[in-house]
Amino acid sequence: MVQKQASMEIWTIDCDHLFENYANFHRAFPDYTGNVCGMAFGRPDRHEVVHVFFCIEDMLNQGTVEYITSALPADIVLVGNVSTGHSITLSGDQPISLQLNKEMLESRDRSAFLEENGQFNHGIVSYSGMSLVTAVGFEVALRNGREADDLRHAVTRLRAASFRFVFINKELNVVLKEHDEKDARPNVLSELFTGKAEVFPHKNCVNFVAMQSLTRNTKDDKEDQKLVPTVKITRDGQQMYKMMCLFELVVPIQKEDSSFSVYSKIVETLKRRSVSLLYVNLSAIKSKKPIGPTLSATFLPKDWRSLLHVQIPQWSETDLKSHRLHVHKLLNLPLDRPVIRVAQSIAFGGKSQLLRSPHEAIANYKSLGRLYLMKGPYDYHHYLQDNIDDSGWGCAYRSLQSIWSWYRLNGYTDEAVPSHRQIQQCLVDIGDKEEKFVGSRQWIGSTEIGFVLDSLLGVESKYIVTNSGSEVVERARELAVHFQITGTPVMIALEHISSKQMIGGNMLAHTILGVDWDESSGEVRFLVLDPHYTGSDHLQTVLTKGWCAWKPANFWNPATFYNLCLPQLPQDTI
Amino acid sequence: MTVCEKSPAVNLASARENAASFITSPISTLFWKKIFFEQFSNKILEENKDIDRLLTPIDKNRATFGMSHVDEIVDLTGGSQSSGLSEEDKYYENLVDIELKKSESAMRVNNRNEISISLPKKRNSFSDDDLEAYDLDDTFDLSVEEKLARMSEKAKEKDIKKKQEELEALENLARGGVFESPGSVRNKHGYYISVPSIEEGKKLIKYFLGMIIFDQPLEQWIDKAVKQHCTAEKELSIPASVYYLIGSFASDGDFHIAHAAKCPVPATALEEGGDSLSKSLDDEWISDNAEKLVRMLPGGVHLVGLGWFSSKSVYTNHKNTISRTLARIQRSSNQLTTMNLASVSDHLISVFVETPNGKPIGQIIEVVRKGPDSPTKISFSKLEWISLVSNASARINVNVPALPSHHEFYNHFRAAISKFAENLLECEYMLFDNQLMDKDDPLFKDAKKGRKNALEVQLFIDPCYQRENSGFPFQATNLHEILFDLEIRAAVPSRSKVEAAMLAVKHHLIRTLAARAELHYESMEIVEEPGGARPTHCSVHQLPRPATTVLYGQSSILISDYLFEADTVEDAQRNIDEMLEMPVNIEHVDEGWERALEPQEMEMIRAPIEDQPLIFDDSSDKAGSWMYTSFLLIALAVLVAFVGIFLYYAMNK
Repeated sequence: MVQKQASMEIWTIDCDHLFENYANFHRAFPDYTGNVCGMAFGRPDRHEVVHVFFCIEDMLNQGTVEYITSALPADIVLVGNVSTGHSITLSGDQPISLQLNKEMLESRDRSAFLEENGQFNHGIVSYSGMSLVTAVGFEVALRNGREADDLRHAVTRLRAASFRFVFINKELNVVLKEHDEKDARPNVLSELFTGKAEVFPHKNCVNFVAMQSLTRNTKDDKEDQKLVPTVKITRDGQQMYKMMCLFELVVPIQKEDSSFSVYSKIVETLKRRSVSLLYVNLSAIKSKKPIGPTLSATFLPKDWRSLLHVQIPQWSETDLKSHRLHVHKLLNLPLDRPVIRVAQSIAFGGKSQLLRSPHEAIANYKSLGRLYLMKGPYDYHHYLQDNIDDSGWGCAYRSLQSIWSWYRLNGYTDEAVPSHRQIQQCLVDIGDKEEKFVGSRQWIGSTEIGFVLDSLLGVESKYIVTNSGSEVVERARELAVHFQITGTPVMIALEHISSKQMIGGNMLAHTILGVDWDESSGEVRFLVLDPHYTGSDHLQTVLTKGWCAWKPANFWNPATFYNLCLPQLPQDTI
Repeated sequence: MTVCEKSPAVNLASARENAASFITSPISTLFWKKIFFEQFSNKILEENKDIDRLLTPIDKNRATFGMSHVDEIVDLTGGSQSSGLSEEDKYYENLVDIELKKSESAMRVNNRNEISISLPKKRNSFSDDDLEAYDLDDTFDLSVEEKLARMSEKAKEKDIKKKQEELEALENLARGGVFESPGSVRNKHGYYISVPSIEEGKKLIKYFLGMIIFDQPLEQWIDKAVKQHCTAEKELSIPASVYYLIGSFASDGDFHIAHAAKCPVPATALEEGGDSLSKSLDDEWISDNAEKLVRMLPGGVHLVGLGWFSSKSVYTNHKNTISRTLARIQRSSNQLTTMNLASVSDHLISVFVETPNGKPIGQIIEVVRKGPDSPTKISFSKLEWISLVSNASARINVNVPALPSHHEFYNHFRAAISKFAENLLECEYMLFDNQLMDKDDPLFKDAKKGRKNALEVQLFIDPCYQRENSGFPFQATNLHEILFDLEIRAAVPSRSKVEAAMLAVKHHLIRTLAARAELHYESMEIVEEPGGARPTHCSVHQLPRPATTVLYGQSSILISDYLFEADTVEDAQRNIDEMLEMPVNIEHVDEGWERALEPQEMEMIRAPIEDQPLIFDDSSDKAGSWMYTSFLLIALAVLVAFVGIFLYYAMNK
């Protein structure tokens, strides 16, 4: 009876996210006609369904559940089954069950969903709190021919001995170690939240040092006497594989968490990372790929209300791509763009020297019409960075660097942003420039940007050629479509003037990040990132002084003409 | 030549860092900061007394507020900080008019081994770090007055911090030094450092002027030892009696002596008509016995020196022997206590008592560099040690190279355990009664209140130590798996700092393992594997178990003898008496700490851990030795060290 009452608690679910996952599932398995199954993951204490993942019937097994669970933060667990006409029960009793049907999902019919599922309210699932970040080293020796069994045992043993790990933050004077719930210290990390209006797990983190305790609680030992130390020497020539793994543990923490709750979540996170490592390697053994350690990477996929943790194996790019595709399908991630490339992972504690996506901090902008913005993060590259004095000639190089950073941060490449010299060398290599161009201070334009992107990244570009600044305004629709569909930053350059004019004229290369276009009146503004800035990377200065700002149509000189380079998305990008 | 005078700031690391950041600062940042500075610097200098205090002497041409210590670099190599400047760097230098004349800005050592610091030269620039220190990067919205107020506040903080850094730096320089004259200290590297005053100097090198403090009851021991020596000299013609001084190197630099145990005389010397060579104690004999004694001591308690009873002429003739002996003791003690990864102390003591009527004379002897001996004061006082209670268990796997040496077992053991020991010694965390403590704090802040006889300690190693994502195949050619689960009872003087307590616990763990391995190896030579015969494909060695008793008058100091399977508590009783001159009632010898493995347990240890069943519920009625071992193996499941092929290659080079 009590259980029934509990099960009638109202849960929050984001129906749009649910429908989007189904759409992604459908795109991943377009020809599938069998039963569609699903799993709901959420936070039972908050009565929130955070994710609903759909899969084909053959994939719905304990292994899939375990792998998906291992990819989610420690406060998110399997909370329910999804029935799409055919009831398939997952292991254990789950507090919720979602009744879905194909029509409802395909038409994204929120009302139908809510009508069918009275236990739910549509709403935005909470996404707040901080991340506790720590690193734990883990080693195993796997016997030749028995790697799978030995790794399974090792992961189980790690879980059994996880009480060995203690986590310390000296500044906070907090030590998190195994203890009974009754001895928990309440609000153990609440001071981290003091004075912070908003905290997000991908932005706000606190680092703890993991220590491996040599001392254990011996109060419950069965015997008073310990065994003498032993030295076992094995010289049987057994072939083994030593694997050393460093796990980055990213643990969700809330203001009200007790020490018991935080420690439990850390241990759960450790378990999840090791399970993920296990599954990656079991899959490697099965498909005759090399076994080995994995890299812990954390992501915040678009529209997700939780972080995503993936253990990335050290495989060949072809194998990695196949692995990423598998994970995309399993987690209903879109297949038209990368989500879990290493370059997209969140660098906790690693502060970028550059300003990232400064336009996001523009406040109180009153739009004219509809905003069309590029999609995804980028870094702001401008004059005088990297100890290079490129004032007067390097604006297009900087614009290219900002565009390149977009491709990198959005997972389309792992290649580092090229330097001026590398850009010049590329143009020489493809025969566009003579050898003496390398090391010179010659400027480049939109065509060269396209050449470099094509040559080094395999990215094609479209070009818009205009006869005057006012024509740029007339091409606002094309830009809007570009931002809406492709979503890459656009480089715009004043063409056909001498370098001397460039330096004196102050009408050089810029990066367009979006347009604000009133279709009825034709009025338009451009979100411009200006690479001519020579100051320090100080966000407020960049914004208040207009180095990243919405510019009116007359920003473009009507007396000169501009070329625009619209980089496209590479194909087959997962 | 100015030697660490008024401004002896010598923080090498920060100075180099500041210098580097200064040189490579982006042009733009420096440029606007220069403009900013030019606008405000005069006003700052005129209006702000706190900042004025930092400017010594005040010179408006010098932009030294919050200046990086680039002009106070201690560069013992005399190397330039600007070598390898790129063209770009030079360009930025010119732009902001940096004046860095390296030959005049570094601290260097002259041919008289004097350390010199060139005082700041005229400076017209400042680094990024300087302004960041004043938070000026984020003060665009503040008025000039607000900025000045903030700078004033920051300047005060920085002034205090700078003075602390200066003191620390001077302490580091002077540490290990000896007073050469009222204003000069010669440090352990042989460099001369002038100190502001005798008092300041004493504070800085206090450790090395430390007193020798005997525990009060030992006052009677001196009289007794003098009498005993006089008898031995008269009846057996033994020229000198040597005693091992057992105690601790206290945090305040003093040497605390808890017990003195006589170095045995060779049996041949006691025989009628014994040879004179046997009667004359040599350094090898004394140090060999010392090593056996050190094995029995808990962490934090060491053999801190020797007591020498003889006539003055014998003492004078044996001064070199004493120094050599102490050097040997120090080496073997380091081997046992830190696996030679660190030195317990570079200074040991000798206490000479001229017989029959002399008073004890103390000397601090620098055993590593053989520097001049420093006479020091001896006193008797009630001393107190506190017990550090802990336990440690781990499983260490190392595939070590199989050396064709009859020292195989012990050397392999050392190789197997060294990485673990390194990790342990470098680990900066330890919990005392579940609390984190700063290593520079005293164990008990209030000397009288809240003092306990024992503290519970939790010790750690770093699970990420020298680990990175990697994997490689290897062959179990000589795979050592060391399993231990043991109790720790270290002891430190009650007024110790936390750092000393941390070291004591770490030393205890390493010492007990090393001592047992040494003993086991010695027993193998004699009994089990004569000639270093190779064991079978898989062999399990059981190390000896401890039998303990407390030191007379110091119940916190637990002495351990180690017993093999066939040894009895009586053996321990006899050993303790022989080694420490400490007859103990057999009831006071505790051999219940550990036991040898049962056959079933031995089989379980022999089998690969991968094949061990995982038992999570240990509440079963079946709990017995088998269950206990399973539990233990699970508890030890996380490898604390696994050095495979890296070590193999390194040692084969």
